[in-house]
Amino acid sequence: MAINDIYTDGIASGWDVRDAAGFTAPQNLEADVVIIGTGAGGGTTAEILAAAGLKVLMLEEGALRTSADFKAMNEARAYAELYQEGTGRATSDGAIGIFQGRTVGGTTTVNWTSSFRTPPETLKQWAEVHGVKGWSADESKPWFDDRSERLGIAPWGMAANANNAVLQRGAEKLGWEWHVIPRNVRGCWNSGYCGMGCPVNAKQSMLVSTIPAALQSGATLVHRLSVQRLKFAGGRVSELEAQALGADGQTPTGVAVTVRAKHFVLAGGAINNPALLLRSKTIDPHGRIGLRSFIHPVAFTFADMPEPVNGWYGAPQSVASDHFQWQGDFSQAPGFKLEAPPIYPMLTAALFGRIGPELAADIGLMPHFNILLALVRDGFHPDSPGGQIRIDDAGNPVFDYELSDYLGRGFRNGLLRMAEAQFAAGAKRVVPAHLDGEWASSWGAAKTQIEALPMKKHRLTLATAHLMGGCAMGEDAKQSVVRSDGSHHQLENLSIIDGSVFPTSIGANPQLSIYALAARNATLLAQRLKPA
Amino acid sequence: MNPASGATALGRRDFLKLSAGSAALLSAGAFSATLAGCSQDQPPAAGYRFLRAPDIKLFIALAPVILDTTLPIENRASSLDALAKGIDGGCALLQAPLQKTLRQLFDLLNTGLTRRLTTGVSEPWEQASEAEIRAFLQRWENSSIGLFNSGYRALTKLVAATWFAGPVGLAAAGYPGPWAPMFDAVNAA
Repeated sequence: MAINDIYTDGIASGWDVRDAAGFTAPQNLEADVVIIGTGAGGGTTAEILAAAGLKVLMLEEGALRTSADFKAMNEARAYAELYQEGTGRATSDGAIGIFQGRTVGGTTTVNWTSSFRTPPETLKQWAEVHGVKGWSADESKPWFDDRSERLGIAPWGMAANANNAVLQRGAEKLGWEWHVIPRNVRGCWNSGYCGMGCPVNAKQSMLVSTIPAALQSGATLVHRLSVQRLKFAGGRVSELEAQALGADGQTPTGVAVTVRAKHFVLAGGAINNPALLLRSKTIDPHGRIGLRSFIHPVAFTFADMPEPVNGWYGAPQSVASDHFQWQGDFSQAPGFKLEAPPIYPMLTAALFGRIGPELAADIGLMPHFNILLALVRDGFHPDSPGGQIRIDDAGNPVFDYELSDYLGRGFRNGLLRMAEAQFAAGAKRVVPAHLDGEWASSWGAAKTQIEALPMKKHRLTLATAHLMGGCAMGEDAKQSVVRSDGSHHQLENLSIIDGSVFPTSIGANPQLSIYALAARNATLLAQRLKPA
Repeated sequence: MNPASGATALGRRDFLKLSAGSAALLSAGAFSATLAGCSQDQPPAAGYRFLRAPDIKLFIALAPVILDTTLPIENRASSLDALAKGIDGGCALLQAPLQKTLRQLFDLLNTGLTRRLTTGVSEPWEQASEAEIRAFLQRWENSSIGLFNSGYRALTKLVAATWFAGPVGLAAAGYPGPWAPMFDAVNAA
């Protein structure tokens, strides 16, 4: 059956979508509001501002790829075309791999659809420790309701796939809390290919929801355009300079684009926003730009299950456990959320980390693999201050993230609990993703092994798909970059609306946290720019 | 200069000594080519965007050891060629900071003196035996110095992720292919 491509139809109906790769002469663009980045923050903001009657210009450095481009359902192609640095992005020392989108819709085009509300504990921490105002559990609830309705977010209604069922079964056997993950889908086929772009437009990413709505309201989208710097005059952002990228999406063509606007919104994410501000030498009297960058560092265990799992098929994430997230003494170790990632072969091989005969003996068991992940909640303790985004001499982002003994205890606790759950669910063998990891045949053996593993960078396999912070919000300008409503402390016509404003990590996959806060702050911005 | 001309054979003790010294030198955690003392501005190999001729030889030598029997004997030359092209494509997508780190790693491994000192392999990669390569990889994997662990991670991840993205590697991993009900539907004419 043919799936209508939203953009083919939309562009035919008059949507203003421009590919900067095709620009042959310098461009001067103008708008009421220019939004840099089209992910969870930028997409949400664009729809709301455009609906308010403002002339909105969306800029995206990635290319426009749509359902017609996702039909190959091919991991290598998706990673090369839709992700930052082809999924090769990493912290500056290479120790932590970074999965982040780089396409129209940003990470929402390629994420695994998990949609959690910001936990009340996190909101309380923001209010009490980080000076965030007006975003309590009660104040945020209507916005979470609103976004859930807008994006079809509801607990997954079908049975968990066999990979997620391992976590469910393990948690049930051990008496742990577990829950069904809410997903942002409508008419989902349960294929499991969310990470490669949804070929049937079921995932309610920004690509198929808010961005089309903004375009329908008269907004403009320019893609393959990389914003280089903001320029300032009289306490305001006066314009921005950007460069067109070629058809490869990487190489500048030499065509310059200048954009003037009444208001500028940064929504490029927790790595690119701080880098743009630093490149632009943005006023930063308290040196806050790029600090407190959080990632939910993730540790993994692999299980060899007796039954076929085929974890590449079926909704990639449908079961999670918060049993170790919010209950306990967090003065010694951070809490963590337990989930399962999809068993995409390329991703799995990269995480597996074994070579030679060990690789050859086990990689063919991939149909029987279950993988669990522990998403460690960083930023809630003085020994977990997050990383720092800086720029190199050429202005490229560089992300330093150090581990502490405090985080290390969280990783170890996570590895232990995951192995315990996998054995409780019937695993034959379990191996922690670590250079010193060995297959263990019982929970007792796994426990002994994991208790002795060094929680060292490069030895422990670590990755992240959640980039948060670096432009923290709060009412105290000494501690933050923007106010709680996203407005910049020093520059009156600059706002930051995306996950980079979070003052800690979320403690859950962040997309819905971004949607809700962005919807509230974009609504406030619309009222400010267009008084009724 | 001929990078192979400067050093005599060095034993494991010397390797460890240099390792500690070089790790201390590289405070940023990046591999440095300063020890090599050679010009590193060689362009990518013909048909490649990032890898230079010696880098390709390096991966062609390492891959059979890393991939073991998941890399079939039949059509091995063309498999390795495709693998090198795939690794090249991945490297080309990286931004400058990580590309610089990889360049330094490859320089370190492709300059005679630093290759011998840090890997214990005295011949150029295309002449090294599988046993020597295996010993080098184990040495870097088990080193107490994070820098060498990170080099091991980078090399093995580039090879494994690329190999298990292609048809032969996917078959070896037991992947049956895209979910047929959807794949067939969306690709129907």
